[in-house]
Amino acid sequence: MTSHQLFGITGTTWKALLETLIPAQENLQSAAAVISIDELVGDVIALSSEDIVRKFLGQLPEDFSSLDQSQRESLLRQAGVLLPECLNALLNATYTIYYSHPDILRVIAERTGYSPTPPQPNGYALAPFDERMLYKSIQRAPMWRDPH
Amino acid sequence: MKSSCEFLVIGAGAAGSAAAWRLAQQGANVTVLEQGGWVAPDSSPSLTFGWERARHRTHHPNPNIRKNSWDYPIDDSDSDISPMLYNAVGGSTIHWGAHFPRLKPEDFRVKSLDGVGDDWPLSYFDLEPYFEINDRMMGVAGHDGDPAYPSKPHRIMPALPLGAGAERIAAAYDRLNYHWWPVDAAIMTADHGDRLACNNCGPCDLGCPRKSRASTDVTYWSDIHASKIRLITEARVSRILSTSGRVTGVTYFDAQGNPQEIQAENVVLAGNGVGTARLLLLSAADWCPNGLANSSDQVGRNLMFHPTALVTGIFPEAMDGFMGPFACSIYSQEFYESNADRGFVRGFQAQTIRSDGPLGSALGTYTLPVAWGAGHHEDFYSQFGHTASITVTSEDLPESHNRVTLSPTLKDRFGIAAPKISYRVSENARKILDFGIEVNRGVLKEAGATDIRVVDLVTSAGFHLLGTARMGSDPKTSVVNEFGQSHDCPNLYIVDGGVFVTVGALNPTSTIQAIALRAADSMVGAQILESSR
Repeated sequence: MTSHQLFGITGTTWKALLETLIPAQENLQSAAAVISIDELVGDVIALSSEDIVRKFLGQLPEDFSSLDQSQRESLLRQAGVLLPECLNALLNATYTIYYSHPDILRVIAERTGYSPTPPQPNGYALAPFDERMLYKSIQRAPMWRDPH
Repeated sequence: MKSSCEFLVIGAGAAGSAAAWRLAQQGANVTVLEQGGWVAPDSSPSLTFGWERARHRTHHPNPNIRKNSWDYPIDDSDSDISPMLYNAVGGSTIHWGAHFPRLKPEDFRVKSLDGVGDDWPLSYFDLEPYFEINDRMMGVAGHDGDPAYPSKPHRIMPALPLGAGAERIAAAYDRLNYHWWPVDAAIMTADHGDRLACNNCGPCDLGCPRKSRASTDVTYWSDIHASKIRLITEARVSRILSTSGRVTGVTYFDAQGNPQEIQAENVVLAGNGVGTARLLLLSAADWCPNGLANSSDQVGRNLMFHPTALVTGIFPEAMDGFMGPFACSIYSQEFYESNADRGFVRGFQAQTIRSDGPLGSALGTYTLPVAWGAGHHEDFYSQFGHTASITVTSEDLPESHNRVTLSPTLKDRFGIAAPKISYRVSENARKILDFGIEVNRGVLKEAGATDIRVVDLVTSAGFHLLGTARMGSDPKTSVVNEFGQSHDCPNLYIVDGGVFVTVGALNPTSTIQAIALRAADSMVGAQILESSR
């Protein structure tokens, strides 16, 4: 059974849901462009539960995908008020998959200079500690209490 | 055939490793049971492209999310804060930030000085020689002369660099005339043996392939004296066996899930403030129907977490906070002490926290998550790499109703009752947090932050599991004496954070380990070291 069948909503609705959470903007891709729905659903269920996800999605109207961004946001926020745990799980899974995707990390690197390589083994240069910064703190009187 | 030993230590984390090492160094016959296994430093996800995802799933600090087979579940449905811990050789030092302050002298005398909590039966100066042994074993980088403490031995490794965010905050502290100091960090800033100097990579909590960041598997367990210890991994202790007033051994499930029994002349518990309380309660017997070592009814009570708020500044300039040990740069103890004018007792530690990678920034691991919807990208790029945060780590006073009990329904994979945590942030701690939030709004504004965001309680910051088997001189109101020796069973010892009477507002690991080392000396009848002051 596919994720679509599992919850009785269409792939189009799933994509609309993802585009609502992280829309496309300029050269920044939407969540729908990089996230596999099956992967998303598996992660959301692991973070929440199938029943709760079904209840959450059941609050969305059949024409959800045809609504505009602000209308879809409004509906998701309403659903999140009733089932905040599920909205949090959906966001967590969406952000986790989106911000682990190589294409997205590449864009972040281009825009910020961040290195998308793993932190190890290269790390970053360890600058020496500059003790001159302590010129003021070093002059303070002791600030611990002797209990005796 | 049942095996036997002189000292059976349960838990190979911060406390158990230190105690077992010291016992072995003193010539004792020691066996350690650890419910986890070894975690190779070079297996760290920080070497992989999926490191951030691992941090939020398979290597999450919350065992209920991580669900590693070495873990046990914890019912935290009745708690304001979720407990974070790791089960392995090295315990939670496998996944910690290595911020390594000591409790302060006054933290051991809060009843006498501030009229709240209780005094400890030992002092900072009783622990001082053991702090120093532990500092040498763990490897501490820092800078001499912090006015917040009595003088300490010269730090042989220089302090970690502050990073752009902490430099801004330090300068703001100076302008506001507030205390700040580079933290003591259990992180190497110079090579020593097979431990290499930190390379500033950031996510210390994922383990350290360079062994720069200390964890007891690479510190205590690498020492020659540890080679004399018999270590049994993946051993889930189910019960401490006892007859009237004496413990005789334990039962456990081995790595294959088979029940085993081991006899011991002495049992030393080092399972943290949750695990140890759980095991004592699981070990009720005819002669101790409310749990082992629990004639005082204090086992499991007085759970303390250090409630924490987080104040995050967003700066126009890049702070590059994804570089550098996330938990270690500077701290301030300006508002640590009681001040009657503030409407609460005791105070808080302000610890500067670096920021996170892209995923952590989006999820807001401890900060607020990035907004979803039409403003998502704008919010993400305004924050990512542009933040620095300050924790408000509150004093947490002992309260009997904050406690660990056994879950009537939840069990681990061996069918052993899971711990249930009931914990509410006190009114006093809430006032401290609110005060600290306002103070640090001012600090971040002074530092040049253009937007400030606040998490008024970080519910996922339950890293410090303390107080559930408190030490004291009176058997009616405490579980163990100053050496961790049970009042009810003289051959049962507790050496983890459960023995804390009060907790100050500082990270507890160095104090836990000093207590464990001192207790070990007492167990073998060695001379207790004294401060040279």
